Amino acid sequence: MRTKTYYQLVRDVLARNIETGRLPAGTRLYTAAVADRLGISRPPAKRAIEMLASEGLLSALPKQGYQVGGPDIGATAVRENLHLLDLDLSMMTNQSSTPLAPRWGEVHDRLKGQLLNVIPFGTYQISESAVAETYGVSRTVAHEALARLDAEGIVRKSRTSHWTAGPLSVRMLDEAQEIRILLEPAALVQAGPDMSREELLAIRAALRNAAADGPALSIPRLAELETALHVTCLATLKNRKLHDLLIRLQLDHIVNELFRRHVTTPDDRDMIAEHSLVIDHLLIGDFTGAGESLRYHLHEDHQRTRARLKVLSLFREPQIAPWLSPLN
Amino acid sequence: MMRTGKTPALRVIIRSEMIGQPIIDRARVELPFPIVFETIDSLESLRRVVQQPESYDVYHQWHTVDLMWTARAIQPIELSRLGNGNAVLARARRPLGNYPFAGIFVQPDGRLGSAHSSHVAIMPVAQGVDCFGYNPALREKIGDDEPESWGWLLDSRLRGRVALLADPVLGMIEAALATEAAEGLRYNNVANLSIDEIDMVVDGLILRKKKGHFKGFWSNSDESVRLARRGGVLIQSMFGPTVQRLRREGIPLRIASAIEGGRGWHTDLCISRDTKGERLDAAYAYLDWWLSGFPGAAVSRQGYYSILPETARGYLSIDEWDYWYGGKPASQTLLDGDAQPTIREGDVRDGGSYYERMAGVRVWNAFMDEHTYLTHRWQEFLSA
Repeated sequence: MRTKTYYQLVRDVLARNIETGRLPAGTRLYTAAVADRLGISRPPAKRAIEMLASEGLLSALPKQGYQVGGPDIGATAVRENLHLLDLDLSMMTNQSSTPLAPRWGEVHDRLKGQLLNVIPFGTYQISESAVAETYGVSRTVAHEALARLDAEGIVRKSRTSHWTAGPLSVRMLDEAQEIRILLEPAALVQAGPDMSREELLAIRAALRNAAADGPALSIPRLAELETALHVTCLATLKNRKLHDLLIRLQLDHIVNELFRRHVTTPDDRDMIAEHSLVIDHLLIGDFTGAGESLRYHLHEDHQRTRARLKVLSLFREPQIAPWLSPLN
Repeated sequence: MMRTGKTPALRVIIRSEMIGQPIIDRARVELPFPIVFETIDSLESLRRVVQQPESYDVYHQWHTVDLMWTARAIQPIELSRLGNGNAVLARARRPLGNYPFAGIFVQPDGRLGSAHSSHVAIMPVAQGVDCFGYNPALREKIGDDEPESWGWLLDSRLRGRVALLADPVLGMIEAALATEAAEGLRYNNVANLSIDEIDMVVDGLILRKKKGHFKGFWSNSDESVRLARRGGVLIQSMFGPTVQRLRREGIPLRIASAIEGGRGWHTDLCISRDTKGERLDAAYAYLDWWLSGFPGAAVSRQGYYSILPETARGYLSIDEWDYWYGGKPASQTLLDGDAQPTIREGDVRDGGSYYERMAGVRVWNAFMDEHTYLTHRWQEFLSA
């Protein structure tokens, strides 16, 4: 978890640019202009500027705004077009489309990971204030993260207005898998021609090694093969909305990992054979065949996952996060 | 590990309502190796079997073969290693009443199916059909002419006089049958309810519970007996051993043959995946013994049926056979499963003969796909 708050990060970005001279002494800074240049909203920009001023890196101008440097610097403050300055914003960029993922984004991802690992075992109540406390964020941010999870169907508000999650039902798995079976083969047919041959050969080698090593895969090994087929093979997909949807629908790997952790390691020969069928079709350039093989694999894997989820329903989760409490 | 001489003890996990003391005593006398019986009545037994296959050799299971097979907790049973293997196969081929054999044969791809093969995942040994029991005084409220129906469990005329089983797995099936009869609800498959169907059943139960419809819930025979004894309960779900206990106490009781049909079940033996060597030989001998006659006769006296009635018949008197399987009046006093003289001359078994009773199965016990959700809603009902 990031320990810094959002405005602290903005403050650090500005401080770094002042330090390196990219934001020269005497540059006038106004909240709106800074927010626009960094591609963020005004409140964090305002707070970051105030912080820098209290630290003495900026000084308030008599009428409005701030300037870089102390009040006694010789330069006359000039109002610059900040877009003309070559600022280093690398600290703010990550893989997300926005310069900085919103604060709730990270909380959302953490919550989702933890929730998916307990809901196969039952139903839980979520304390919004405990979420805020655990992750060092405001109630508003905690609420926003939970609201997003609500939209994804992972949590919901009970009639008594408490956040609840679970159980991961067979219906949830069925519905997610039904969409995947409809869309993922078609997506693979599209993405196939753009895949690199080296990558495909590497995946095939990994599958052959797995087959040679025995019928049961360790959790990391399983994850590697699943990622290769269901993430790497879709990476060249041009329709990013479709790509993101398909990634989000992948719930089966959670059940399969938990099954290995709590019950037993299943015989993975069928799974390896099905993966190989898809990769071999891609390698000979038969993308329709690859799509069909993937459809078959998704169907078979779903039957296996369903059966494993049923075994998991015998058990209670070994430990849960402090912001969760089991219901019934 | 317990050892007597050089032979390792066979470790067997049983359920109390399935195996009475006479069977345990006889097994110890007739089998040439020590046996450690462990009674676990809750789902705890299944958790043990799934997570610690090394801790047992034989498990008396019911309605969870798919879970154990998925968890690879049990090993295939080779029919040719059993003395009665051929009789079992012949029994499985008969189109009538072969439900216990559905989906238990190991297929070439390692999955389970109904196509006959040389190996089974479990060996069915007994079956039966359960329905609710009621005090004949109930007729004062319901009238003499109404046919026995699962709907009675939810009938407002019986408010405050009804008890159900607390177990979510079987309780939900009975509640679904009752809701179907009382409210005309229809299910895609009553043995595997969907989330929406579970909601409809449980919402109705909670509503009735708040109106004081249910007097209590029982988890074992003792609690069930107490509920009937107190006099408040006129109708409740009931297992065979409770019926016999209540009859011994002279509490008037009828076992319904609901017009909708009953809840069928079968119980089966399975062998741990980790059992091998001498212990595996002992496990096969134990299975063979179960198919050989005495245990089949003993469970018959508990009100169940041997999976091979003809082998059990050799261990029953003609009078016993006629009463338990033939549905005929007892021609003399007969002993029940606890060797007590419960059945008096002239008594007739509720529901009739073996064929009549087993033909009346509406639904077989099942561990539903949405078990986690079902349990959650059932607990909500119990604590409402």
